[in-house]
Amino acid sequence: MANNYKLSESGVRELRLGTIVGYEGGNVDELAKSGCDGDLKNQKHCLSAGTSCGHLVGVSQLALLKNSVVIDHGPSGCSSCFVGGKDDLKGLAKAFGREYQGPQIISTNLDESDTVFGAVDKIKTAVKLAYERHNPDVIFITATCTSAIIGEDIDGIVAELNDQYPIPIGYCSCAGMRSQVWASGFDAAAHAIAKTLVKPPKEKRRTVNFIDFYCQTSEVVTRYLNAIDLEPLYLNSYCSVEDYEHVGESIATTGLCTVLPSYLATYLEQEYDVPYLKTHFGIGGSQEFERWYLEIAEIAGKVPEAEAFLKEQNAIFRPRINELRARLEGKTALVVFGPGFTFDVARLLDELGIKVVHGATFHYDPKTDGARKESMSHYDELDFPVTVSEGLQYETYKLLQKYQPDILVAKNHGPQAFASSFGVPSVCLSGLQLFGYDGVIHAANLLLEKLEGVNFVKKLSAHMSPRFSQEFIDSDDYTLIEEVKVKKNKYKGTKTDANEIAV
Amino acid sequence: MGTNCVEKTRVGCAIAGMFTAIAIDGVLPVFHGGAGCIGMAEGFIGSANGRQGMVDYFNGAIPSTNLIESDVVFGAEKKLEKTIRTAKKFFDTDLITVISGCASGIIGEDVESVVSNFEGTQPPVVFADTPGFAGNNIFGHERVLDAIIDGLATPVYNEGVEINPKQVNVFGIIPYYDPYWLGTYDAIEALLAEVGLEANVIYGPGKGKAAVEKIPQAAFNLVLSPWWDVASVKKLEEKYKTPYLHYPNFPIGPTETKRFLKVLTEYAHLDEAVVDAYIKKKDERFYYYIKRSIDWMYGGKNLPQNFYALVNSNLAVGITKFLVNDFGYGPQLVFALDEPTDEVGVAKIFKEQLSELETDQEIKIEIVPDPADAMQKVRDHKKLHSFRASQTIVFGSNWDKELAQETGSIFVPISAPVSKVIYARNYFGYDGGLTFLEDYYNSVENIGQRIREKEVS
Repeated sequence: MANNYKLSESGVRELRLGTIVGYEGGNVDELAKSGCDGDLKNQKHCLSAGTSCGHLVGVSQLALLKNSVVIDHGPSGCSSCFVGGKDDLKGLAKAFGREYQGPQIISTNLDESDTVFGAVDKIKTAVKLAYERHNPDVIFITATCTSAIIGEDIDGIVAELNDQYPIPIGYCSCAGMRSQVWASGFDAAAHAIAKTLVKPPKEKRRTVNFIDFYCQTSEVVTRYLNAIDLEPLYLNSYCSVEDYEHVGESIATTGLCTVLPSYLATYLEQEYDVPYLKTHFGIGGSQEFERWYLEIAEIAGKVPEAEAFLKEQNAIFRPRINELRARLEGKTALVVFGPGFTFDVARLLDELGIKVVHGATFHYDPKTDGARKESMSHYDELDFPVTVSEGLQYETYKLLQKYQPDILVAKNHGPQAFASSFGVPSVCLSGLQLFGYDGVIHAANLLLEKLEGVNFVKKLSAHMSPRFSQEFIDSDDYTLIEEVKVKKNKYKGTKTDANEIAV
Repeated sequence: MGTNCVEKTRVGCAIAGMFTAIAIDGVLPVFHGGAGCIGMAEGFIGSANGRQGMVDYFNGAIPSTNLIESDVVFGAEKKLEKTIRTAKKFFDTDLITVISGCASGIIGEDVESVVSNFEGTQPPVVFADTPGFAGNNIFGHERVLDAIIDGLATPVYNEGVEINPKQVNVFGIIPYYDPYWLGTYDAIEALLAEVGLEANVIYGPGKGKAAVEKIPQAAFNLVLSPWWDVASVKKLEEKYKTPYLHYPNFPIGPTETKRFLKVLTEYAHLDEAVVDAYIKKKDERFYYYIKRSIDWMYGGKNLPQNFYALVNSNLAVGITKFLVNDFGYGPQLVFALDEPTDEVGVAKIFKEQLSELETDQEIKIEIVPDPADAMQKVRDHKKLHSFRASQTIVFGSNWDKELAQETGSIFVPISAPVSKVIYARNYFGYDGGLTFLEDYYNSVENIGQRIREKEVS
């Protein structure tokens, strides 16, 4: 079913894609097979943990636009953390030749009486402040749990405000409690961007929309696209209002993984016939990268040129990759990421001769937007046990204990602290640094660096003792999926467990 | 909290008070609210502030009910009960502190009654009602602290409890929120030991349950802050009849530390000779370091002395007294941006504290609810006044980096959120004064050059 971009709010991933946040029981190929018809059941964990939410990721997306202001309609705490990445992101933007002012977020600071009487007037005040203080190019008003539960009609007031101000003002339905999948917040932000900023195309351009988290304008991506007479248009971070006037003019949309680009890319495909490349990604090792490149080349009508360039590049990089593979071969890795990175980084590790003993992913989308079933089919090529949890790090602890891998590969949401507990080195593999042949080499060098420099984690592990109970540490259950637990009767005192689960 | 909007906030919401639980060894928070709340709170009070993470209980593994739409409609008390029960089973903990968030608060969850189902079980379970719309992280901290003390100390307290005449419970520095908390408490502990007292600090490694249980045995409670923790020690006076000494400033540098020690000596009947010897020793040592850097300080430059401060209440008073009384600096605008609950009462304390400034200049500390307004006042002030002799300094948080650039000021981040790694360093006492100066002086770059450029223009 096509997405409805006319509605004021995006649909959440659970309903749109059949996304699950709990799974145990099979290898990747089995998971992929069972999911295609929306028949994949979300298995529940017996204990959840604080992780992330759609609001956090939604606001971060919108606050990363050039000269945008986000009005966060909620208690001030809901937007308090964004100072943390400010200087890093500004530095990153500068390093890649982009301008970024840092997050400009005004909270309506809802208090107890606002939760009773409502506070849409505070939105008006905040928009006025935003306009006067920052002279922004665009304003987005974001929903929080609090404003959603008390039923604030943000969309209604946005229509009114758009008549009063000469700049676009949009609404983002990213209230955290709407979805168990924080990635639904990416979609809420993309929905707001699509409705507020994207303009119909005027002419076709030889650009490719490239959607990434922090948009590290990549020399590698540019090199390959230039070779077939294309230019990248990086979205969404640091993008200007003007950039969005041209996104419909690109020949295709792609990105780093299946998760982040999906919703906006599908919008461009559905509304303006911009093809969305949703099957192969350039961070999944050489083979996936080549597939990705040839898919773009085909749209650009440049397959022979692309093949020739790949051959030339391969000749440069292959010997080095082989050399590094020889040093890494036989190592084992536990991989903990969102679904896009889990499966693609696993391919990259495989190319380097590293055995992925297990993949733990934060959610699993059985299909992509646009519902092309075949897009997931190449997961068949992967063969390792997989579990799904919404970033519950109890699971990482148990998986590390079970497998004792040589290295843990992750990028965020906290698994690396647990690797240190077992003296297991860990590496952060992230973003465009993994792209193409260059990315394979970069990853290999990082892996070697971490595998060789283990003194720190070895000594640290003597001091790391996460305070789990002996019962938890001794248990041979490595997920907290409760159905499985009842079946296998793994925990002591299971009688009460069964009662608990009945609750 | 209130009618105003807030931009570039210097406080987290009430649930960030859960870091008070994290700071007490063996106390596990269990959160009843949204899935992202802990991450958001951690993002502000921890990783954006001193780059502090959790210890022993870790991010991504703090039990949370992760409320979603259906919970909001049907209620989630059973979910909470199950979460607490499972947490008790899976974690090694001395106390579980249930922390409630906005979603729970608005839909009217009866958390109290869920928690009461665990009465008499081990480890005990207590509850701190901390919806984000009800207050900031300081409010949350007070609620969490009170709940933890009630959970661990009250059960072992009795009227006949033996008082340790030397024991002093130390409060007034909020763990995590003040990113220098651990170093500060260590420094206070060391100072009290020098003058014959035994500090009882409940936060940090090796403290935990035993330290909290000991709270009722103290001769008195000590608060080193204009207002943080004052409500809590008043409650301790009611609960355990422990008197308290409220020293309404965070002492930095020689003059103020000496003043504090004099007050403490009188209050706790300390041996004056011992205290005076300590003061003399530390004072000389402080000035030894200063003398050693005089050549640099006066080496072809005029170090900026006019400053703006956009900081919390502890530092607003602390650095103003230090920089004026010991160094003769000129505060231009000083803002307390930590949303004091009793604005009138705290304003009075500020006024009393500033009456001890050794200057004719009229100085006040303004309480401003929206930090963006304070920042605008700095811009306006800088435009109106020209400081030909030197640059200005902005003592603030990492939100103020751009403000410092805009106003041609030296930027020194000292108050939450401070986005840099902070380990044991702290600003307390004599040595803390030196550390503070290091942070300022090390932020001064190419001063001479800039001044010369200015003179030419």
